[in-house]
Amino acid sequence: MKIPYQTRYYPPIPTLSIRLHSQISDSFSASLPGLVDTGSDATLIPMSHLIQLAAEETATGWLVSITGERKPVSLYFVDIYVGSIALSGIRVIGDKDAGEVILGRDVLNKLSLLLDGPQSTLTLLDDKTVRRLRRE
Amino acid sequence: MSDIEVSIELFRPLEQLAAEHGKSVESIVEELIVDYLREQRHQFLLQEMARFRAQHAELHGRYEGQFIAMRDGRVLDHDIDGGILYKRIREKHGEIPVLIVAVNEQPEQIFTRLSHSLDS
Repeated sequence: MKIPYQTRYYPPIPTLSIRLHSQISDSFSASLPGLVDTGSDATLIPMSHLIQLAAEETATGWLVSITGERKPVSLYFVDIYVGSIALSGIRVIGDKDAGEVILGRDVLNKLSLLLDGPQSTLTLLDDKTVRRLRRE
Repeated sequence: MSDIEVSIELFRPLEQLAAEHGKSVESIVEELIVDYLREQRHQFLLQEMARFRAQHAELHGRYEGQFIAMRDGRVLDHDIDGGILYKRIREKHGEIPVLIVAVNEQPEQIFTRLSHSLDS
């Protein structure tokens, strides 16, 4: 699966198309672009998507920025579908200020991705390619 | 839908609000109830977090590196996988709010985003 970088940002930023699923309501979100952000510990989801899914808050926490500022956040468990890959029971941050999904290392570290900067494309690698690259 | 009686003093402004927003009174009442229940759950979790904080030293010794499910200061269950724990707790206890937290060195559940400033 090859996805063009989002050019709304400069320089362009890699994104993955995802769907959220709530085990509670058994409902799916529409397909959403998720910004690939290796500088984020965890995945951030705009609160509006979590409310639509009727996801349940399970804890409170803090989000700390690079400058050390922190703000209170709510934590939820949802399933995240990336293409045909299902990541079940991921603890995500519900962010009322966020305008888009931010995919953090909790999700990214479960995936094999090729960031092709010169081509401005992100490829979600298939198992066969991953096995070949690991042998090299 | 269940019938709920509302005093006429509350119903009239609701009707007016519904007309202004092009919604039904029922949909506005449902939104209010959903918001109220969400806020009540949040308040409960804040209180439960305080109980978790107070017991953290003992819990850290017993459950370090795991997720625990806590209600009224009592550990109901624990698991290395928070998602699996949440599912199990939901199946057993239904919709009642239960705090699910990672037991790390510090009680606060802290996440860092290096690529972002909160004021930007």
